[in-house]
Amino acid sequence: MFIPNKPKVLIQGITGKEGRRALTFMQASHTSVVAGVTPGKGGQSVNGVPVYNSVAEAFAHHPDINLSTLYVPPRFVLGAFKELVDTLRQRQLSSFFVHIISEGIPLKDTALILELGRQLNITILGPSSIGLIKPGEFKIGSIGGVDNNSFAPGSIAILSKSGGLASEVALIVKSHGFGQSLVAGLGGDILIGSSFHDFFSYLEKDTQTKLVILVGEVGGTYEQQAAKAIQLGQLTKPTIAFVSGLFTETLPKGVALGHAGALIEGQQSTRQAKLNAFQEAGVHLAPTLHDIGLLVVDLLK
Amino acid sequence: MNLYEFEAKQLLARYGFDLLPSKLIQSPHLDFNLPFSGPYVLKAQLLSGNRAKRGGILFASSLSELQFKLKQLFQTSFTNERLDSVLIEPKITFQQEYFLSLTYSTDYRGPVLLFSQFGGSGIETRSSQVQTFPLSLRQPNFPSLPIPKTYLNKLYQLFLKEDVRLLEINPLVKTSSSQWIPLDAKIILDEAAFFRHPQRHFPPRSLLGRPPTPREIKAKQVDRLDHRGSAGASYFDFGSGVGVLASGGGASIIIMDTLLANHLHPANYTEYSGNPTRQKVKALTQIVLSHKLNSLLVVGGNANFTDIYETLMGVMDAILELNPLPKFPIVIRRGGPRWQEAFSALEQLKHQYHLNLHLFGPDVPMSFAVDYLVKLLQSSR
Repeated sequence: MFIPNKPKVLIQGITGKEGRRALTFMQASHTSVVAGVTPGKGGQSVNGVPVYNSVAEAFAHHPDINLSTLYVPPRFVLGAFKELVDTLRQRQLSSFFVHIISEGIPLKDTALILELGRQLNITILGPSSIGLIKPGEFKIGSIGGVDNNSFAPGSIAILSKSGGLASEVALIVKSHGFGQSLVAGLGGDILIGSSFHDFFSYLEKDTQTKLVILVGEVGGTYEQQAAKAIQLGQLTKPTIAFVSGLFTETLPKGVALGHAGALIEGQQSTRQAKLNAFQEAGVHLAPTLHDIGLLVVDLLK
Repeated sequence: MNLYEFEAKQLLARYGFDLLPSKLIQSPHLDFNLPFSGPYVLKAQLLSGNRAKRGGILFASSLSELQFKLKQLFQTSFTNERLDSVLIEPKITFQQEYFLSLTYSTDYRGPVLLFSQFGGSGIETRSSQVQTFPLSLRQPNFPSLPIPKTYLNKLYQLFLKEDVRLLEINPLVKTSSSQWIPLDAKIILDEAAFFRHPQRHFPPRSLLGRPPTPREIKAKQVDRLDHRGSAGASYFDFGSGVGVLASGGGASIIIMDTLLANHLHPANYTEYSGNPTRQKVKALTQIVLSHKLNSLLVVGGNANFTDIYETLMGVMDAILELNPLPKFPIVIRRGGPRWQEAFSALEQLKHQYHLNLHLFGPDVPMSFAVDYLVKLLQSSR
């Protein structure tokens, strides 16, 4: 996983409603947004950030871009991503971070995006990810808005499939007097570019991080993959896990609730299977969101 | 969207796959000739699995037995599902049944081919015998299996072109004349890709074991009003009780978990998030208010970028249009952009219209709002 220390951000879809808001959010957190792209709107500027017609043009003027965030409607995400990838190939860039916020991208498009990403060895956060914040340093995407009062610099890393819960858990942690080293919304889709365990080597090396909180839900196997990675010693810092979905288990199989990926299809995708996996890996389980705060106090006192 | 077996087979036929002759029947009376002779298989068209174990597959050797079994099948009650149609096919002999599935895997984060040479019903209990092969989207790399690669490739093309989430053939059999035939097929279509297939017209359906209710259908329409945020994309109609307007895919589940833990019956499940417009939230609220409610719960986490003022005003727009105004408790817990502005406006409306409104900001946990509602409902009893 590559997370730039000093992001130089490109916003694809900068002139759209959410693209503009994201720019405001990132600027309020002193993140350096250097360029935007909207085809046909080149030559304009938004909040002092120049807009270009194409990704190639943006890179020609700003060769230091090391991160792109995609604020385009779901059906255009694949096209926007391919355009970015073409430019990265031409420029032979591989230390690159892509954030995708769009929700409701066709599964096949996401699969192709992830396959291309693996080939180029770039880091992809999302789709359907609210973003990532390192409080006091920078913000990628829309996490926390301008300032939703959830974040403060500190020693706790929070990884959550749900963007709303990322923020909520950050607030719980903060209300107990702790700050965060990194908070990321991974996205609730079936296929995501960065899952819990993809962050582990980064968090293990990060001296600021003392404790990790994983917020999971029913569906898929990402929680089990995280538990396995912990058992293999990829994350040795104290870890707390919360998994939602008691209610989902009362519904027939195959019903997705809340997120596209939050559906129970096999035995592995149930809440209980995930809790068992975490328990076997020695992870502290929080039965409710509220308990996360109590566990944090217990572990960091 | 889950397809019925007959719909899945129609799709396979369109791609030139060999299938058995069949007849779809919607009533227990056989008043026509079948284009094939017996023995016969009668298959209940159901969306949920384990059909054979649930008595959904019957056999008949003659037309008169077929008539009898057909009546029997239509009289069978299937838990969680209503039987609308039965597919009749000739019963054939084969040597071996294979299990074949194309789907997307969270382990490989891409498409996979699942295969077992011991297919047939009960495959989920033999999962250790199922092999998984990751596939590339651009250069398919099919493994060497008893099934010809041209056949696998043709299936994969259907899977990709039709934006399929799951294509499962169980069993796939080889006949004595060396023909490959899917005896059963399960297809789940990716609803996010429906815009690429405007010609599709599948009747609405629900996995809850009944046709979708008018509220559920309407909520989906509300979500498609525009592409701004999501509101009503998933809606479950549970009748009467606590009206739920949750925010955030993750937070909404926690709300439901907490209601369940407190033995409260939700009238519905629905969720809005991603900064939907005021109009969209109003339309969704109107659907929730159409239930027989004992209370309304509007709960979400500390929002990242959803405009709390705009969305809560959408909720109030719908409430204030009710005549008479509701007397039941309305409990709101929200935080995020413009929440203070929203709360002072709500306080004003509360006094102006004498609403039974209870407001909680981001300083109290989400679950507290539910606990509070539990106490309110207990004290009013």
